[in-house]
Amino acid sequence: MQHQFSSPDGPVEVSLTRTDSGYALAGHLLEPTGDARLKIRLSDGRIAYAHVAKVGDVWWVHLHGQTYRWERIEPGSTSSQHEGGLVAPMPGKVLEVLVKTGEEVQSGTPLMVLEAMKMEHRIVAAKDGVVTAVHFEAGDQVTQGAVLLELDE
Amino acid sequence: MITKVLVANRGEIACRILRACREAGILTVAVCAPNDQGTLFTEMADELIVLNGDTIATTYLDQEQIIQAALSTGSDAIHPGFGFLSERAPFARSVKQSGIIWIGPSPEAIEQMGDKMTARQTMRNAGVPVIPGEEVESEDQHDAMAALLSASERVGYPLLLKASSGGGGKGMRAVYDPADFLQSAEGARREALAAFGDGRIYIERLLNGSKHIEIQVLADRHGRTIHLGERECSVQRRHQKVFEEAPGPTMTPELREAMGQAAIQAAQAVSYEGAGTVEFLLAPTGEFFFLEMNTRIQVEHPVTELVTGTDIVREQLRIASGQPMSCGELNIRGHAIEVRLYAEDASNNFLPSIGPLAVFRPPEGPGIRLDTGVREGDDVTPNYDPMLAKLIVWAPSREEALQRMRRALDDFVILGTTTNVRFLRELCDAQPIVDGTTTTTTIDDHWPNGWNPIAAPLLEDASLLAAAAGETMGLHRTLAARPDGESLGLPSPFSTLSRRYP
Amino acid sequence: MDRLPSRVNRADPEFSERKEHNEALIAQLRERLATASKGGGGKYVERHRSRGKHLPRERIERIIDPGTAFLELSPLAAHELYDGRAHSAGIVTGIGMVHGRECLFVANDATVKGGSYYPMTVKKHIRAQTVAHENNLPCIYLVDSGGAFLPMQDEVFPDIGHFGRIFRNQARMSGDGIPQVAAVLGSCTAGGAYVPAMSDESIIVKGNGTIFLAGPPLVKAATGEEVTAEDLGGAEVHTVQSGVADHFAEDEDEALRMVRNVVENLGPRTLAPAASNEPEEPAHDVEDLLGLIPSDNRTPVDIRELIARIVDGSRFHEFKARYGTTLVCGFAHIHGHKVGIVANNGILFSESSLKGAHFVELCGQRGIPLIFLQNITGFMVGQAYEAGGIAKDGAKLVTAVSCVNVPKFTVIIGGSHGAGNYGMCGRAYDPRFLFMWPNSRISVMGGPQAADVLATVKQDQRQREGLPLLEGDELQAFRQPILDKYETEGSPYYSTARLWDDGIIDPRDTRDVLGLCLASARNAPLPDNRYGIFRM
Repeated sequence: MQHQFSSPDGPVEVSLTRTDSGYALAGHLLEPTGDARLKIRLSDGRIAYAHVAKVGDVWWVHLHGQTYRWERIEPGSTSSQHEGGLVAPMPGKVLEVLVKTGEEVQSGTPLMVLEAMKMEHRIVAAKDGVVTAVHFEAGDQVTQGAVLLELDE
Repeated sequence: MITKVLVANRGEIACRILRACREAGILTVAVCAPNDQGTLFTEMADELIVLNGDTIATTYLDQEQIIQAALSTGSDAIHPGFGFLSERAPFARSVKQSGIIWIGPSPEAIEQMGDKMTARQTMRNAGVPVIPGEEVESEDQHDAMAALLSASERVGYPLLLKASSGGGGKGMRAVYDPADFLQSAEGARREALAAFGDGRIYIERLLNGSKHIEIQVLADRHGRTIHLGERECSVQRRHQKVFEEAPGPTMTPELREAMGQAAIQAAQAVSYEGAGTVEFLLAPTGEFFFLEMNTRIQVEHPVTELVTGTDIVREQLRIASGQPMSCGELNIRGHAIEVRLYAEDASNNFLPSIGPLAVFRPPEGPGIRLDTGVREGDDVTPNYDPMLAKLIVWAPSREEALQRMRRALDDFVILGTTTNVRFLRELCDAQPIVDGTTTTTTIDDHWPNGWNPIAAPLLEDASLLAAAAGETMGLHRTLAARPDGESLGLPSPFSTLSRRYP
Repeated sequence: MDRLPSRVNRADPEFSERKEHNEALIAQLRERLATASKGGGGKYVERHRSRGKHLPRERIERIIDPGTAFLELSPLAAHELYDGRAHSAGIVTGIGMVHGRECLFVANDATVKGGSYYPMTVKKHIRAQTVAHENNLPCIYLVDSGGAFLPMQDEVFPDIGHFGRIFRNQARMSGDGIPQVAAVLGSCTAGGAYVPAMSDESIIVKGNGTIFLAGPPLVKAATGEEVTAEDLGGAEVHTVQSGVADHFAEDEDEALRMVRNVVENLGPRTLAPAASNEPEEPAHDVEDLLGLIPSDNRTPVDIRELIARIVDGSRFHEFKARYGTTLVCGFAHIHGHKVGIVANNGILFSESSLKGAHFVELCGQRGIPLIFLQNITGFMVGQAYEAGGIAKDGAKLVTAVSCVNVPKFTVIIGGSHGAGNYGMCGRAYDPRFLFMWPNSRISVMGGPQAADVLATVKQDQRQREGLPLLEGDELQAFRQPILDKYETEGSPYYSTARLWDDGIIDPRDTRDVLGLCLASARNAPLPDNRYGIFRM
């Protein structure tokens, strides 16, 4: 049973081993409990109960005080996000546009100032590149996920 | 006597007040914006008025609508909670003029304390020490910037820019380098203007290494003004408190008395009535300075309640109805800690997050209190403040209280929305917290490059196992399936849908 | 199965423009549906209620299992016909679940001209029976009607698709083992008396319910006999003496409860086998549909973006993706049911037609229901294409669509013009259900094309007659009425008023509506596949 999840360091391949009563991975053994929890015998011998929930493609797992998010990569799927675009993290208002189309920016350059929840948020370039499009101007209202500007490497 | 209270607030604090009213045998009315219908607090009141409007300004800040709601429901008092209209003097005045009891101090007291610059002057005159700094009274953008710039040279760096009408960290900027001054001042002014409609800014010396100590005061109409001891709320991120405790870990009885008396003086200087909080900065030298007075119930009031045995909201109701407060002599017992749970990404500059609370299981056990306005199945939306809950613990000693808080946070399961629970949990292990030597810059000092969770590879692998096994077993589908699903295999959409089509 | 990607940009001004346009169309639909649901309205409703009677939709609501869905068919039938007052053509039809079983309802609305049958009322009643017959759904008739609308008797009485067909259908369905249940909640006069009489089991309400071939005035005129309606054909008479009805109900609520009891005691049913999965919401936001559907049918849109918002998990296994790309074919699930999807993505060419025919046969072979998403201006024209045999390739698609045995469902999501309507399973090709989106258009060709064709014919004629050719304003004056006619008649409301479809739906409801239709269709077994000759 192969699954792929995304992590900050890139995709993670998981291949589970079926056991008599459940599944195993890296020395941990898992048994279903029949509710929203999963019983796990950790490789160090401790028993832990994981709470899990799937929201969209993301598996949320709470285990021993830690919460993990594992976004399952669907085979063949691609993200609905505009490639190369910088999207609004949440709904808000554009306060200031700090760059112009054609401008070269370096990773970390502030590009736009957004106001949401009455606080200012800076949209910062995640990589070096050239601004190829600016979709909003100061005063515009943006929805979550709106592509604010586009950056070409 | 008060027989029916309208609570002009939402979420967690509305729940807190509605519960107190029910305990006091007082009828309740809740008001809510249309997008808040069905949330927890709307189900806790005897009556619910849905306000007409689609912005905060046209709902929770619509003074006329709220007073109308109070009149139409026959409410004889309004409790404003915190935030929203709680510190708007004109609102307090209209409430009183409509013949409704205002559960809070007089509009004059709110005015004198609400404008931070006026408050500094009033306190200076009353002999309460204030932070060195300068007020700039100018409406004009250009003049104000020039005056602020010259004031900044006199006050010296590092300094703090604050909005005169400010609160909640809005319109506040720390400036360390004169080169950054103008940009920061413009940003602060803009944020203040947007949040409060008032762009006036003043400058204070930034007292690094200071503690944020606040004194809870209560004053009734029978001549009594008392303090309920201090809370230490030094630990802040983005100028908002996240970790509060009582008593202060480094407090001495002498200092408590001195600060308590200063707070009483401050309250009396404006003929204060009801519950209020006087905030001080306690410098490493042992000097303390008046910061501001919050003329309302405070978010972190539960820690004081747990160590003094006082129900502050009940006292507010008593005082507002003209009765003497019921508090006896100040007697501080044990130690209480509160943490604020936010829907936010602590590893990404505390950016607010949204999503469903697919699983929301708070911890249980002795000495644990949860003040929240949400429950499992709710959605966290970007419409309001992202605070989900306040988790408060009490234990006989500070050390045991911290241990209890760590356990409680480990047991707190929230899935579906990113929260700061893990951040709070690791905060409880940070040396300044353990030692009680926190200051207002503890978080920035401890995590100079921002917070990131401590890796736990073993648990991470095990969580991956849980996710992969969940996916393999189709757990998400069995959990979502209706228990009465047809055994023929596929349930008919007629039974899974419940609408009329088209 | 692979998930379809999406490239939607919600920040695009065109997206907001389309969204605004489509929201306005939906608001108009909602408003018209709301008006129709009021029935005769005002004093007619008041008078109806004063007799202890409920409106037809309320009656249905009391019969279906609590908390389950109801799919109403053609609620806007007779829209703007008969002076615009015969809302829903005076009859409510649809499918709902009773004791876990999908049933078809036909409920007269006595607040609309006493529930009498206009031509569209007859057509809607017969359409509902066809739905029941094709899908093996038990029929529940909630009768409250004065019979044919006499001023239009020539359009409702004698022909093959007229009043008599209703009773013939009851007999034939009963013969095919499809239960026929009637509850007489009001009058049931003349021909109407045959609805309960032809039913397998019937219920009558004391006081309100009457069944007779001729009412008291007609009896008096014919024989001089004076008798009250209750004594002539009331519940007492028919349950004790005549045996025309089987169950006696004290009041309407009891009658409606009895309908449930009757359905509870029907025989077992067998569902056709269906390949299925656990149902799953689309992975992409269904709300985006409104920002994706073009404001003008001429603007192309990648059909996969729409499919991704109709099918379970946005998963789609495309067939022959690189061949005949103007027709998109592939497998998907809707509310767990496996389906084959045939969707236009441009004009039909020979290759796309062949691919469509192949895919339709494939679904027939595997017993997988077909969904047609129709947005088609027609087959490609021109010398090269005629020479390439587009007519025979189009014919292959039409043959496959006509003969395939699996249930077919059609949604007109844009234009429906010319032979494209045929190849994409228009009404004449017996889709089990056919729905339209509010933005759709239906006509033999587009208005401007029709005006061009007719203008050319006219000019040729004038030339033959030696008259000067029409020019400028004159030409415009000739073209304009044609454009106006097509504008009016191409509207989905014009279509739905005349029962060319089963209703106009909110695009965001497409997945749910198709799910309800698929579940209904499973009640009928699949016949054998027998294709006609494919011209090679």
